[in-house]
Amino acid sequence: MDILKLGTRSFQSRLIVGTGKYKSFEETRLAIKGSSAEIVTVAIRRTNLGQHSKEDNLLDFIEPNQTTLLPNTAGCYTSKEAVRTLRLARELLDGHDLVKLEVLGDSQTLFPNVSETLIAAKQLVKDGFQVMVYTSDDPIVAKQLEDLGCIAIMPLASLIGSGMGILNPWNLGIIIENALVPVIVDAGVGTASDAVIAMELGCDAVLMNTAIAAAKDPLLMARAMKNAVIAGRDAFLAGRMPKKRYQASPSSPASGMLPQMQTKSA
Amino acid sequence: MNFADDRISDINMSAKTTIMIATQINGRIKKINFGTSVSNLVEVLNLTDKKIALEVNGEIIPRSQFDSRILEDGDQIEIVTAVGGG
Repeated sequence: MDILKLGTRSFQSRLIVGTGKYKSFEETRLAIKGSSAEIVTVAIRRTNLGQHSKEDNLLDFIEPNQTTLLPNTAGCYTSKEAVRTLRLARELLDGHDLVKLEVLGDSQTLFPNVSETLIAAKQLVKDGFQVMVYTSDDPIVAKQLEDLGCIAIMPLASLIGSGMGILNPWNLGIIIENALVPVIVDAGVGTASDAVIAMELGCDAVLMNTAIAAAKDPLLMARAMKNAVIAGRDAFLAGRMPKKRYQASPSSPASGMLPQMQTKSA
Repeated sequence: MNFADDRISDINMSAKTTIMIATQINGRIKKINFGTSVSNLVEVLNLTDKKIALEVNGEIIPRSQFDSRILEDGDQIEIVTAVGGG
């Protein structure tokens, strides 16, 4: 069985989905279900107080026994903020220690601030968290994060929410080749083929949110992504045929052919 | 218990005491009774059964200490929950 091992946990699905940008909690629930994702990300924010405190809660719409929550540090621009957020998340989720670390560099591009990310990763690993870390596609930084003890490296394929797909498969390939922990594309997936490409490159999983939530038919896209990740993974494991640039290779036999006919004038 | 969004409002916990202290909860100034515990506050805010985490002055208060931690004048309280995100 082709199991995804993340730290001390094992999963069958190699698709991780976010819970943001949906039209309703019910749509979120159905999209997660359609995607067959076993891990979903959540953000940590101030509760609504007062008259809003009786509103529905996202966690009520996520199957607790079938889903592993992955709290993130979206909106954090410093290592201190990220560490604080995840400590709160661990308390909120009764000691749950699997987390997604992201420290952003600027609000326009949401590109990671890798130096702050490294500082946060070091502290969080020391605190006993199992850290899955969002980072750039810089192979040196990826290795540094792995060396600090992160259980998964999550390079962006393109900007968060941009849907631009895998912009630098070469860097991603270098990271995958050198990594001793799972590599998970996080950010930039836009449609099914992006997920397939990521998996064919050798990624261990793909994380996406906007690609599903902002599709015209999110539930259908959730299914597409589920199938895409499976197809890409199977193709990767199957070992593709070699590419031949200048030489065709017929699939039908050369022997036993009918004699070639001479052309006659009409 | 209704909170007016744009005004300071009081949480009237008990008729026995009239001493009020000022705290900040999620960035808003709230007056609460002297001697209010974190448990009391969480209950009044209808958050008792919800998955939340709580900080007082930057210090995370574990659930096991909700009853024993008494809030003080000037305390800054942050209460967070899980929401949708990527």
